[in-house]
Amino acid sequence: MGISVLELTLLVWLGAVAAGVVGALTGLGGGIIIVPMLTLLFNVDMRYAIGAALVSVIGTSSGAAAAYVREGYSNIRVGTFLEVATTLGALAGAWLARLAPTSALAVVFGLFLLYSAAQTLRARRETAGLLVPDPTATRLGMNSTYPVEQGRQAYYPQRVWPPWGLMSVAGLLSGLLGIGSGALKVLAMDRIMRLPFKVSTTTSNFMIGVTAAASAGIYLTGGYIDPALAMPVMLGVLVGAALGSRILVTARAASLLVRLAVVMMALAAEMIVHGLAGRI
Amino acid sequence: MPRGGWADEQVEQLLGWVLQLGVVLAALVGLIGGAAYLLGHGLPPYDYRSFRGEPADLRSLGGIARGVSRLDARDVAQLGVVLLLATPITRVALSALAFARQRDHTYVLVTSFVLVLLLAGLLGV
Repeated sequence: MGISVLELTLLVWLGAVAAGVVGALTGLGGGIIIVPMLTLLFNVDMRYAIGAALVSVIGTSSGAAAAYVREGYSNIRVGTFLEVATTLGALAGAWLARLAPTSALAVVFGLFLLYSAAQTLRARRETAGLLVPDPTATRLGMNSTYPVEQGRQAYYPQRVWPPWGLMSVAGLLSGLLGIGSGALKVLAMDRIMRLPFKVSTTTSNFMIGVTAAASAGIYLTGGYIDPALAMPVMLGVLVGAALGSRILVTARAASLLVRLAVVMMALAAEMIVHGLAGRI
Repeated sequence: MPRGGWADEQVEQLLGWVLQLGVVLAALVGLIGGAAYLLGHGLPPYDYRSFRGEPADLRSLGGIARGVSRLDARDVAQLGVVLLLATPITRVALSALAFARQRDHTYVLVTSFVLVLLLAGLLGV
């Protein structure tokens, strides 16, 4: 006898709450924790896990984006422009996921989780600042302002086309692995377009829902989204993300981040080992 | 230049409310469907270990709509998933409309293209 649907649902919901908290604390989002949790802890097939994770990613990113957009942090034109690349990537990723063996997906997932865990430990470098308006960005109406303590601060996005490469990869990984891949999106906007932190973080959030919806459609019609699994995951991650964002950032946060990163690296190693052994 | 009611700031407010409403609605419908499903089927052991694929009525918009009209709990929960998927799609459609009102043709083109890609994914084209 296995466990009943009711028991499984409650356990999955609790796990998703925890994943939501960790996702919010590390800034990585819930999807990247949900997939290893479902596959390693609950022995759920990788494809069901990815489907459920994608649904939760749409929920958390849309919920967070709702507030950020109203407060005027997100740059809608930058987001819209780059969504072309992430959406195309996401469709390709979801298509690829239906062909690839789950063991290969697990190895790729483990490698990206390893990268993301390491990324949470690196300090982000603010590279915005005194920049000259870029002609292409100006023509595309991307120059904007964002709220700071003394009112609104102007900023000028740089190099508009080069981020398309990274954004396509971010979309591909999102569709392939069921994650938001916000880490890559933020990287492209921080380093290449040199947007202020708050603008790139919130614009990435704004784009994640659209990217995930593109591949989630393919997962839905492919029969990879089971409502009895996806719903507790989504509701749990929403609760967890709300809790996580309320936990105060204190001096202890740095040591907490290190511990979380170590746990995520262990999960990543487990995914890779299981994938290589063909047990996922 | 932006015309009355469709300035960037007002569009931001509108998009924010649409996202909020979509998530709350999806969560409510999903919760109702999920709870009804658990009350009716809470006992059999689960099996997500091997992938079989969902039945046809949970895979297409038409199938889900028919299931919901029969008050099938799984289809109601799946409607929650569809509402969630529809949230960013609606947001993109509204952005396209806002850019059209602002006579920003480049972005009308860009947003419409994204919208077509999203619908193609959802309708299984």
